[in-house]
Amino acid sequence: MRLTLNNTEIFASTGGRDFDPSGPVVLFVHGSGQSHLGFMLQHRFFANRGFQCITPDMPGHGLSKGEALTTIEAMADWYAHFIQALGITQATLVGHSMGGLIELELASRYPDLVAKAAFISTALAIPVNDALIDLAATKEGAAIGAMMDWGHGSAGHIHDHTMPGTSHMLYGSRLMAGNAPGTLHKDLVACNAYANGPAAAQSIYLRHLDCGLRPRPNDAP
Amino acid sequence: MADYKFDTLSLHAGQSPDARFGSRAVPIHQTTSYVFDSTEHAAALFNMEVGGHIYSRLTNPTVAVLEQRLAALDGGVAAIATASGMSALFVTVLALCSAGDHIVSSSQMYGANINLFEHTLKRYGIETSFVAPNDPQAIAGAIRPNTKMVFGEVIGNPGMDIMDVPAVAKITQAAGIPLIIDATFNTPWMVKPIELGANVVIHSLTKWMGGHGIALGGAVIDGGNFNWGQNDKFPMLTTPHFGYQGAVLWEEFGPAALSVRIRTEGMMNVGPCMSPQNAFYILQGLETLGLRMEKHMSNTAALLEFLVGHEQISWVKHPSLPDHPGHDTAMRLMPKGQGSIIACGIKGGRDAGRAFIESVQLASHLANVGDAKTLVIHPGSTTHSHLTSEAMASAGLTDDLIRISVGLEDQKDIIDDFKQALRTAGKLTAAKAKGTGA
Ligand SMILES: Cc1ncc(COP(=O)(O)O)c(C=O)c1O
Repeated sequence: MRLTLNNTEIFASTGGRDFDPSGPVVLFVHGSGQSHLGFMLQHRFFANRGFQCITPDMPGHGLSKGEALTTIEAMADWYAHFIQALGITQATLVGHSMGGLIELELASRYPDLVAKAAFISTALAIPVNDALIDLAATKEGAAIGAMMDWGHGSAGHIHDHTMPGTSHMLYGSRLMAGNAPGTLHKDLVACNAYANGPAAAQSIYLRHLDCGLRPRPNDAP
Repeated sequence: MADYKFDTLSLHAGQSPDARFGSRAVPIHQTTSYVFDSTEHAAALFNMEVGGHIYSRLTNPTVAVLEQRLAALDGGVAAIATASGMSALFVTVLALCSAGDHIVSSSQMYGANINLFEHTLKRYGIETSFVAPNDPQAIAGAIRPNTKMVFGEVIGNPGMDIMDVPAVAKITQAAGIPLIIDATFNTPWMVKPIELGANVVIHSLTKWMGGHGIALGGAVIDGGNFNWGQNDKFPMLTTPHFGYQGAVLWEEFGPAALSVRIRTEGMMNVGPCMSPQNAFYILQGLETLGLRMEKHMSNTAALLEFLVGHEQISWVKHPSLPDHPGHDTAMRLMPKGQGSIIACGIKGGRDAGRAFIESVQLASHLANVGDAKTLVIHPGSTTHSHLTSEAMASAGLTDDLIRISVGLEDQKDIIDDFKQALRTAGKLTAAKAKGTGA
């Protein structure tokens, strides 16, 4: 799906199904330097089970035009605007990494828009090493390489993957390299600067907390 | 954890030890089909929500190990193994070109490649312009608005002209079309075309990759580095795909859009799949690719030293030789080695060439390259015999040309065999010149 938001052409993936904002909406919020493509499988899974899935690429990411936003607060406002523009009354959020920070801020600023929130590989704060931030500014390819390296366990490093014929690690690198230049750096700076996580979390009415911890496949127990 | 290096990937990429029995070697999954856990699991597989296998024309666990190893070695996001190198090329063209489209191809290609473009595809409305691979400006000049791909080799076959891949990649990038490289003659050990800016790599795994002359196979490696959505030239990737519930592959699969199209069209509807047994053989070969390539290179250097300046040899062609027109480009792109194919001319022309080929004892006279064993052939009377002299010349061939694929035997034994064969060929031609020949 393509739409114009704040004068910028935005792409949003719908898991291969038509999107109906009146149904149960699951909104996926991608992480630093990522896009809708990181949620490809989850997306198709939920869309096929009666959920209305929507994963927009933030400006500067994936197939969206424009320049990346520079603070988590601005990103939360952007998602709120996106939800309203699509006529969604309430959504369940699934956020990964930086997406988790955006989700916290969004749920605290716009509690009415958020039904439930799920968090994947995230925290209340994501301080980023200066060396990585510098690398993202000067040698984006090397920063992507480093993140791929840390982000994958032993199975990823030997390019073993459940999708036959695919190298998950190399796919991830290309996905990140496909964003507008400078996007990763802006995202990492935004993560590093975000300090409102604990306060945002306290302001959210916590009805139920499930915490799932699972090691990466093939990591030593 | 650091990225694994080439030789490690050659041995391990694509495979975690088998979870059920702990097999260290890659198990041969000799099966056509796979039992579903439930109807829900089946539906999830067909909808590509989960990884797994359905039917071996599409994917097979043994073949998938090979595919992932190839993707890792060449630096692509995905790979598709095929029954042969030729079918790898065909399924790629099928995914990118339709009637009314145009291809720019190197004029120095394997004969069957040329025939596919020049005759077969033409019948289906796809036209090809053939251009010298070592002339980037000519390649640029041949690109038309309906051109959908530029195709060539790093080392041309059999003329051995060198394509300056980074220079051509700049041209294809500016034109908004992919550069597709047949990397059979270089293997990723010598150079990885995707790192030089190419977008898709095609292999005949039959040659050095498998390396033992025991199994045919091919592969397409999707570099994942081409923006298929930048123009409207690639509707197969940017408009709804009939083979995938109307999904727009570029939106749904991004960097892997091309490989998903090939899997769900070429492999699904044409079906040139690789057998699991062949995948196993080729995986065994890949385990020693680095070791073998080093020996191929050192044996080639030794044989070149013997041939250059030999009184019965009129000329020797190899990219490592300073008088080769592509020498500088070859040394820049492939510093570790410039291939184990040598072309040379035997004094005495066609007859001497034939006499030489018939006199070798250790080297094998056959129509293949990239075996562990040393091979020799006279293209003028075999692989390229269907071409006219002019077409042969444009493919960089002469009547006296002998092509050698240098194997892994002891260097001295290879050279001794060439010595005795040249001696015999010399006697025959001398006798013939005197009119006393048989
Ligand atoms: C450069 C090149 N490409 C492709 C092929 C075709 O490969 P296959 O014989 O595996 O179909 C060959 C075979 O000789 C070749 O030499």
